[in-house]
Amino acid sequence: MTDQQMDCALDLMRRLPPQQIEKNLSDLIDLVPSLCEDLLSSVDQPLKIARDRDMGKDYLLCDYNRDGDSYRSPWSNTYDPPLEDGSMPSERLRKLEIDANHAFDQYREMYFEGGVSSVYLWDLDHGFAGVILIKKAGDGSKKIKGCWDSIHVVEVQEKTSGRSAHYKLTSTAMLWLQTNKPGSGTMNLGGSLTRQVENDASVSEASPHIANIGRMVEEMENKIRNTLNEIYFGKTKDIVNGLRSVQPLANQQQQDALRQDLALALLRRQAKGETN
Amino acid sequence: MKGDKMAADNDEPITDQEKVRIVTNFILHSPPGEFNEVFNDVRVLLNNDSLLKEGASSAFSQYNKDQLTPVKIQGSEYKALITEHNDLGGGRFFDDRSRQSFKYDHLKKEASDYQSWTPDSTTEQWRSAIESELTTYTMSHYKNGVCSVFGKIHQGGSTVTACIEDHQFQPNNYWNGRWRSQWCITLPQGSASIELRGILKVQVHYYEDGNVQLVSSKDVKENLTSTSPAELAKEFVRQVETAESEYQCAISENYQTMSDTTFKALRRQLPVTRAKIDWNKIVSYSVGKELRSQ
Repeated sequence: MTDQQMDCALDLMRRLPPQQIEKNLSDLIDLVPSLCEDLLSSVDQPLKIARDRDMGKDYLLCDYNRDGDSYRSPWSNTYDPPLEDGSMPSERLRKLEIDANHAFDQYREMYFEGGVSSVYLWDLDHGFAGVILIKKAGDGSKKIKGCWDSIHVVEVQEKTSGRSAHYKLTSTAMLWLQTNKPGSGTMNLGGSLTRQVENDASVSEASPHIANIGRMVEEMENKIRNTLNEIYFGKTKDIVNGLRSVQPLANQQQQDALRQDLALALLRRQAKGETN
Repeated sequence: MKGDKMAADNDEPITDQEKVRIVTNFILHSPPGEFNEVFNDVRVLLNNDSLLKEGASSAFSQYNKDQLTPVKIQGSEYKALITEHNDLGGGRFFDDRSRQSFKYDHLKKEASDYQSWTPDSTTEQWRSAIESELTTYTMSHYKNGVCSVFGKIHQGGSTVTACIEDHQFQPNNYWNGRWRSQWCITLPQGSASIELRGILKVQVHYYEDGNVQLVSSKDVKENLTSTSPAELAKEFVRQVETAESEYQCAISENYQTMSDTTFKALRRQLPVTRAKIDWNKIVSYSVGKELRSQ
């Protein structure tokens, strides 16, 4: 019964307007409290920002750096509000986490030229997993509010030789655009797309985990960016313009008929030309 | 986030009334063409059919009216629309155009039990003139559009309300969309100009490997000066056409601006170097930084 309920919950989150994700998720959890943990870990929400006052840096909040009501900063590696025994990455993993944060900080600067990023890692039996988060808000110019959220969850299964690993990446990019203008009224275009990819790669000093993961994330994010562009500004716009025609439909039909006549005439001319 | 305060603080289950509120809200927010799927999801999650029927059936009716749902009716080549303006209560709706009232099944989305209906006489000449012009307009701009015009008399005066609906449902391609417009005039006492008010709404849902939605609306206010029904109807529709086209074009323009400026400024296609990142460089810089800081 709970499996079916989880499927329905996820289906519901795919249909309800993403503009109200947080409220919908909260209501859903109230409705079926037994699904709470599973829902929190599988439904992506827009990322929230918190301030690490000790380090003077912002970091991002998600289910993976949460313990109870506290969140762990990737910079100071402490919980806010403080926790006595909050869950922490192992020492080896924390070293990797520090490097990963520095690496993706640079990635973020090169592609996003601003924004906030955070990487959180946790141990698995035969490897480790992690989430790479990025949030970038637009500056509000042209009276358009925009925001981008990236959530990349990577699972790394290390082969026993330690010389290669299997990487599984699930990436979600959220894009939010809102305007309120006299001509177009309120326009709220938002939501997310999710993709998955799996790869094997060799692990060495020349090609450490962070480089392998970085390459996968970069390629994936570039692909998703293109798809977002196509879907948001191509597909949904086409759907709107398919609902109503600014031109009288008869004009369009006349144009189509004319185009067909021209095409036929051209074919006939070509056929004639070939027989000469 | 679990940390945020929710109604179920400290694991106290919420009341049935709260559950009904949540479920009703979900149903009312079903994207166009996806009521059945949302209904089925909600049914499984609530897991209490009698509570669902008793508490949420009003949501089915509200949803259909909000969506300006088209319905085939017998004895008319034109469909009618289910709206709040032609709701007679008890599950019955009226259609001025075909002079019928009917019972509407909100789950099956079918009309039945037809009875004859007389449109309101005070407004009928205005209503039918507008209906005639508006129907021509609707056929001309909406491939599968449906329009309904209602005349009503009430305390404030008499009103003529026009609704236009068109939709495209393509669940096999993971998308659905709907356009709704509602236009209303209050017939004046005397020769004052008539205020024309419109509400335009567009919703698009794309859900292949994701959930992307456009939700847009615009309020319009214009003035009409014609005095005869025939002239008023023409002016009414001219204003409607102008306003709806302006809205549609402004949406397209916004799309262009969003894509060219806002989206580009959020994330570049490639770094300034115009090449993908050299991860070996990035990683060795990080490691170097770490060594230097020790």
